[in-house]
Amino acid sequence: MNVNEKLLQESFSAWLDDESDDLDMQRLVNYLQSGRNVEADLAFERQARLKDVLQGWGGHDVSDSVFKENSSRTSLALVPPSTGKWQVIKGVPWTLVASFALLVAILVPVFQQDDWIQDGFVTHAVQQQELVVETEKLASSQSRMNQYFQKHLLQSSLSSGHISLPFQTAAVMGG
Amino acid sequence: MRINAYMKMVARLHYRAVFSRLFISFLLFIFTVNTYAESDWLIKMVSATQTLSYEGSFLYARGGNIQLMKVRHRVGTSGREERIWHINGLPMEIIRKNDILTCYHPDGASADLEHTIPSGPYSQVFLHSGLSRLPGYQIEHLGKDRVSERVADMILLMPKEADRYSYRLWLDEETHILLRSEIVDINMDILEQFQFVEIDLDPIFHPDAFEPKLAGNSLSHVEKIPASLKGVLHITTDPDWHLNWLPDGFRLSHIESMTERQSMLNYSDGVSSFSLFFEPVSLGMPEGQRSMGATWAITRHNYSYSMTFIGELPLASAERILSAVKPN
Repeated sequence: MNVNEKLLQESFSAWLDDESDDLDMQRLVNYLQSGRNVEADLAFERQARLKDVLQGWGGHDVSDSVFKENSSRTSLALVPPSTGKWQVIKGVPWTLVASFALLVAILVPVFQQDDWIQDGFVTHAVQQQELVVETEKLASSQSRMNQYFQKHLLQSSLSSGHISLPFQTAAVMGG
Repeated sequence: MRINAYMKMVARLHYRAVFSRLFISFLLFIFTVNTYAESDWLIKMVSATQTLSYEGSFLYARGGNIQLMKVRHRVGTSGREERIWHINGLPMEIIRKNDILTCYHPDGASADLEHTIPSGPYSQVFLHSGLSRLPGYQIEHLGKDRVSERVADMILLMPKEADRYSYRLWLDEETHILLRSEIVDINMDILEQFQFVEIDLDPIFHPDAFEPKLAGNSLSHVEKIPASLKGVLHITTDPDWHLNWLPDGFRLSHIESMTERQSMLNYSDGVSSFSLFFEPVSLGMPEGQRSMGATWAITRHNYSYSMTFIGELPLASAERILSAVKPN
């Protein structure tokens, strides 16, 4: 992964977290205009986040905590924190309630399928693997396309009198 | 009597034929002289950019992207020196001393360090290979204009066919240096433009005018333009691919095997150029197309290869070229 791809990934994460700034948005707009398979990349990012949720969020196993707390809960109202402190709803920390709601939203479609334990997670894992391979291929193609573009510019500056050269090549440096 | 009339008729036809040939030769002579005279503008432009010292700022726009940069260029006893740097955005600069180029980026910059290295103002090929005759273009002097507070000659490079773009050039009346240029499509819409905002053609340079300002806290990399690439068309190997159609005036100017499975061909007509890149489909380059300014990038799959066209030609020409690629 080169520097640009890493930055793009960070901008992508910032955007999903609603923390993106102008530079992030510009990177994403450039990316969307690049013609890459956006849907596949987005699906991969979502799956990576799902994996994070299932493996633990904030340093502890969310699912375990949620199910432990779930037995004692009496209400599940999603109220955002307004006082600067984590809001507690009848003894249940807000973060845990949110985590549980997120898990329910993600897992309900899986539970609705027949034989969800085997088929759901196996299919999920296979799809994730395919998406990873596909995304890596696309990233590699994008990198090669950039390399081709640069080679074309270099060779053009040597083999033709493209009128704006070398100013064009200097301008490309910024992009 | 009949013989005399016949002889007179033959003589008349002979005189007419001779006169017609002389007239056609005269027209061809005038046309040729005129073409060479107009192409002299371009020779002078290239020469001026390489031999004059100048300093200025210019803007370069393609698509929706506008860059503002400064340039210093000095020709002295030790050769050519050049410094180009960005005014906006990330501070980056290129220092050129003859064929050695050093690019400076701020430490931790997000810029792609594999960017293209500018090879110097204009091509040597353009100047020396005979391509300056530019058979694909009609060159016309459109009159006078004013750019960056200087009087300029407006030159139009109009393609003879609609298979490539037109170029409008503004050359300084006094020195012939390029002050402004535009690439326009068949509808005369501007695809790319370059213009000096200000230019000093008699600059006095400070001793450290060509020293990098980013050198202290930066990433840098040095490139040397290979001697083999400096302006001479050397085609020593047969490519694995050929084109059974090319726009008039385009010639193969470069062949390169990038890896065992990737290769490149570059064609040029002296002004525009395009490159073709080949790699096996199994490497995963998807089919698609995109454009920025005058440049199209198109990938198609054929003969189990991904063929990528990148060049400054209209879409129709690019697609026709891709469909004309055949294996040798």
